[in-house]
Amino acid sequence: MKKLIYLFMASMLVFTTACDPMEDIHDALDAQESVISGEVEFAMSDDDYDFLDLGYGTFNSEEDAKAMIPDLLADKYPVWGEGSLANVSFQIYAPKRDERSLEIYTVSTADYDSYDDTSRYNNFDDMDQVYRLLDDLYPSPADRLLVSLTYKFYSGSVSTLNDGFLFVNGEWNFVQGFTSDEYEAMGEGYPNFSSEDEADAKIPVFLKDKFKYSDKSAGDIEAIMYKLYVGGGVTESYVKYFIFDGANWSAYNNEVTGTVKFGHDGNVWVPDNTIKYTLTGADITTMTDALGATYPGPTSNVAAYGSFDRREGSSNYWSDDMLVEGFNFVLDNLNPSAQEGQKYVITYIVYTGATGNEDMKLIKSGGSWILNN
Amino acid sequence: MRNFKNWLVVVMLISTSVIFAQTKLTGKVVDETNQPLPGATVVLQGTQAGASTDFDGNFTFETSSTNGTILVSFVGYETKSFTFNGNKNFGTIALKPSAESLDEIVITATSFAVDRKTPVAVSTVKADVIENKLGSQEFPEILKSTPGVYATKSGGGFGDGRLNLRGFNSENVAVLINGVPVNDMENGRVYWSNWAGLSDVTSAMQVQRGLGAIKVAVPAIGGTVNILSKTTDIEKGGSINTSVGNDGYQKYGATVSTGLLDNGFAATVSASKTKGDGYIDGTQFEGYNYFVNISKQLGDDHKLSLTSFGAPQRHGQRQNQSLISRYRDAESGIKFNPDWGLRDGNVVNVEDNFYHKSQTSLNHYWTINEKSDLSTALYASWGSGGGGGTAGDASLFQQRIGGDDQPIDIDNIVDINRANGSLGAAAYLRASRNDHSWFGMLSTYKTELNDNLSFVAGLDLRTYVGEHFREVTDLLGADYALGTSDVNNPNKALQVGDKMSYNNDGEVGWQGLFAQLEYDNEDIAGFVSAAYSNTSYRRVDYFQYLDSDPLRETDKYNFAGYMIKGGANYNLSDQHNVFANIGYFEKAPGFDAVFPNFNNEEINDQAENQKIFSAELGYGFRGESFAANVNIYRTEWKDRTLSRSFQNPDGTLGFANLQGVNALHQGIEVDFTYRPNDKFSAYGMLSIGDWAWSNNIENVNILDEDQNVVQTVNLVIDGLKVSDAAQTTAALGFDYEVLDKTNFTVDFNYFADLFASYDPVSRSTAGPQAWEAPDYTTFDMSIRHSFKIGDLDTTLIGRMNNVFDTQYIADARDGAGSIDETVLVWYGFGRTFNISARINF
Repeated sequence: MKKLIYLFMASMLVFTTACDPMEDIHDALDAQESVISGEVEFAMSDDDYDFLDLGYGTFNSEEDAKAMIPDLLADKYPVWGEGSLANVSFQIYAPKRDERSLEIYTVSTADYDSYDDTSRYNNFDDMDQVYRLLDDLYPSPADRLLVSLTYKFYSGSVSTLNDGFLFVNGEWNFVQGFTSDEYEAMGEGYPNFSSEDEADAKIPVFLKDKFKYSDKSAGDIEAIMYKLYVGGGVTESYVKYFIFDGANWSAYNNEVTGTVKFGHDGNVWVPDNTIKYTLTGADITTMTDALGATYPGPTSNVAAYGSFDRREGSSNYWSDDMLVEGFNFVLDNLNPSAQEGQKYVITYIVYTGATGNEDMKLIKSGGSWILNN
Repeated sequence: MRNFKNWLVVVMLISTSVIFAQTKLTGKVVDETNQPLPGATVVLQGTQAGASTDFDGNFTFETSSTNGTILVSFVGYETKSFTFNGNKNFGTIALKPSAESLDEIVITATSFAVDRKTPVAVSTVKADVIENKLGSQEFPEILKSTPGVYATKSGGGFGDGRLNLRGFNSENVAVLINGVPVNDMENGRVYWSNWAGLSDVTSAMQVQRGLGAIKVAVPAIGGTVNILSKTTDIEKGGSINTSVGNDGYQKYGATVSTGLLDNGFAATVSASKTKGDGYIDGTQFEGYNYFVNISKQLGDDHKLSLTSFGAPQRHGQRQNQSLISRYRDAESGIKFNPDWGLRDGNVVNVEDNFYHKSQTSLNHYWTINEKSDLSTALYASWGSGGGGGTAGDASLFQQRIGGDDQPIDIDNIVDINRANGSLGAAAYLRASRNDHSWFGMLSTYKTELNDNLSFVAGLDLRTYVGEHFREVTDLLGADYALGTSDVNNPNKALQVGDKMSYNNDGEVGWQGLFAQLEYDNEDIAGFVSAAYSNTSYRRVDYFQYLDSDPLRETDKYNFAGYMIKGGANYNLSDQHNVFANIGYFEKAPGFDAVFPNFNNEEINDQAENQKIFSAELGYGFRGESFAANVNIYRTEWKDRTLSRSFQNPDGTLGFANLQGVNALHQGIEVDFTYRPNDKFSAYGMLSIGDWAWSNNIENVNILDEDQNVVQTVNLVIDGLKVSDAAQTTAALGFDYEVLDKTNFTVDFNYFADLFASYDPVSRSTAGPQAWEAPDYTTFDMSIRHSFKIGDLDTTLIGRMNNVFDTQYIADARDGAGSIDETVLVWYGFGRTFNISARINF
């Protein structure tokens, strides 16, 4: 019997030598650094451009921006890792060409008469007829020649128009001008402005009214030709560009605002349109309404607890496929006009024995949302 | 509390007794292994005068009689008598285990096992060990050095401990307090938080592994835990005790006894208060405990005893397990708890538990004649309370004050709710209530047919109503919460206290019959017994059905279970004994198996019985200074409840009750005590289990009423280890009397082969073994010092658990792939300490 005791004692000593049973597991898990992932939305500041050696505060193209901004993000958010998102807006230099030389021309009756299709009424009714005349008048125009053309145009009724035609890169570009009535509407006694400041102040106001029924969207740029009385009975025409911000027009300073989303893939930042989204109680209602008949158990369970039962084998188990099926309703509801290739990361509450969060990556493909792993 | 005051008044009124001392009697009472027997009774024959032994088994006792006889007795031991003439020191009195003396304790007697006679594997923990070692541990943890037992603190909240026996969880372990079963009537589980204060008034806790000697028709697969409360104290007096411990633990308590009065009355009252912040973050707790026993001897043949006890408490819980990596990243490490928050800087226990279950029984013991007796217990138990949790937009409870290891931002929810105004709560707190009322009667008749043969018959009747509902507990700043679950009131603006989500009753009836033949001669003792029980279930649903809907109440569904078992013990010599037992029983399915979809239409009235076969062999050695037990067991658990529901072509729901989900639990258990001298003792155990699921279910087709295949079931579980309890455990302890009345105790406990819990029914394809926790060892120690303050016996005990602050995982839930990265765990506690003082008067 004594031997048995010694055996016991010896075995207990062996047991007690393993004093830190968790050591191996802890070491292995501690070695896996936890990822800090963030989400940010910002417009690039002067300092940001300086960091990228962009002295003018603009990119030359969106491609340049996509190539260069990852370096900036890596500098600004050094500890962020996989799953991080940045929505960066920035300026792109996109110059619009104005005139170098000016011709002022009023279409004469002789001009209309020289073409069979305009001789009868002495007006144009098709823009092609205008371009034909310009080609004939200026067979070899200098680059960026502006023709301030006064002409009659039939569109229901005949009106006299004064528009610009700017020759850039081998072709004529239409530049919207103003009629005499329109100058009058802008408070001008003569069909011209007295100063450039006056033009800058009045044209945006007028454009807002002129295009109020047109389908203009933010970022649209309109070329406008206006006439300026320069003194001594001389009136000159100028081309100026105006940009619409969705509500108002303003003089265009040769820069457009671009926005690109970037995501961190674990190593570097790459352009990525992913939207992070946390499922709400209302979204769960959307899902349970849509799927209640198909999955009565799981839907009533998630409705009761607000968490998806992810224990395989449970009668209320939500498989990946079931979740994707449900998230289709949520995302179609949330973002009905989402483009093909739009990505989402949806965060939702699960029960795996404990309550916690899970993420699911989805992408729009073929009109529906599918897993994007 | 009002009741409690009334009890106190009663005690005060009847506590009068004066003894004129002349003759001084002293001695020391020990058990069969020379361990002192604290609390043994010494009484002067023919009188009610007597004494109890102290912590070291010593008694001192003064009487006005100059000569006479003293009777020395202890629960479960033979009574010995000694004569005296004048002052006398009786020296060491060794008591022998015996069945007969058990009669002293009315109904409880019937289920306590007797050494070298009852043929079951048994371990008994007496009050002194509980007092010495338990400290602020969970009550079930006192059994951690018992073979076959795996006890943990679970989430670590006060009273949230759990106990598995031979790999079976509490649904399959019967727990009896004073012979009255306390497993939940619906699901069979044991909620230890209901009994958080019971350790104070426990005289002995006995674990019978396997079939056990239990004499009620309670089917327990893993075994039985019998808890005997203190009953009548022979001696007038009492004690006060207090303890302090880590994390703000404080406990105050007192016990007062009248002693046995000349008129045959005796009363004992005990009460205590415990509070603390909890070792785990966000597990603040406050609990009370009361115990009252009044007994009265009526003539020579009748004894009545009224016992009432309960332990109302409220505690913050850690409901959710977390990934290991989350603990590693958390500021508070293994104490991290995701389930609590802060509001205005104050702790909000988002997950909490509050409960008060009172248990009152009136026991009657009747000695009919020299050969027959009848013991009867009438009992009533009321439970009220539940568990708190979240309601509304669950995502708001994931928003924390800082990183995800920080408390939940309750202020944020309050702001949102207040902004919502008349739109109602976005998120709020609720409690899932589970109130019950339970009435029962247990009656056991025993008669000696001849010198060797006895017959025992028992009746066990119970009726139970459980009320299940949810209620709003805190609107967190909102005007109301919208309740849409009650068809009788489909759009209700809920206020605090209003019922929500569900509201139904479970009514359970139980009728059990038991009969046993016992044989006993010099060396051989044996028994054969049979038991039958009927369980009936009925469900009432107040929310899902209109008040006028006849579906609101279901019919009563009956399920029968039965048990046959037998065993024998043979004492080869004074030192060696062997025993064997064998049995088979069928256990009725639980309430939720019959109403699996929580409604009154889809009822699985054909749910299968679970079937259990168990056999066991044991050997015991009782030497001068060394005692040991070895036993091997084999328990087959067949047809674990598994049903699948499906839709019939006519749209009705059908149930398929699948058979063949079987497990085999087998193992060997060894334990010993060694006591070479009065000052030193060593004890230990080794328990090696082999518990595994034993077969697959392959391509079992489920057919609807038109014989169409609606589902094909596969379960690939053959050879998968049973989870959630360490299959290998060992313990070794030493107790050494360093100085006079100063004892030093150390305990090692070793746990291995603990697999993360998983549901075998989820294993539809072949998978790996569940995640296995690293083996771990804990080291506890305590020091006990007794001294006198004036005439008063005082005991100081200091305890330290997990002395080396070992980090280990005691509870785990399997994750995807069964790997370290996905397993959800609770760590065991680090180093904790507790110091207590008790003064007897």
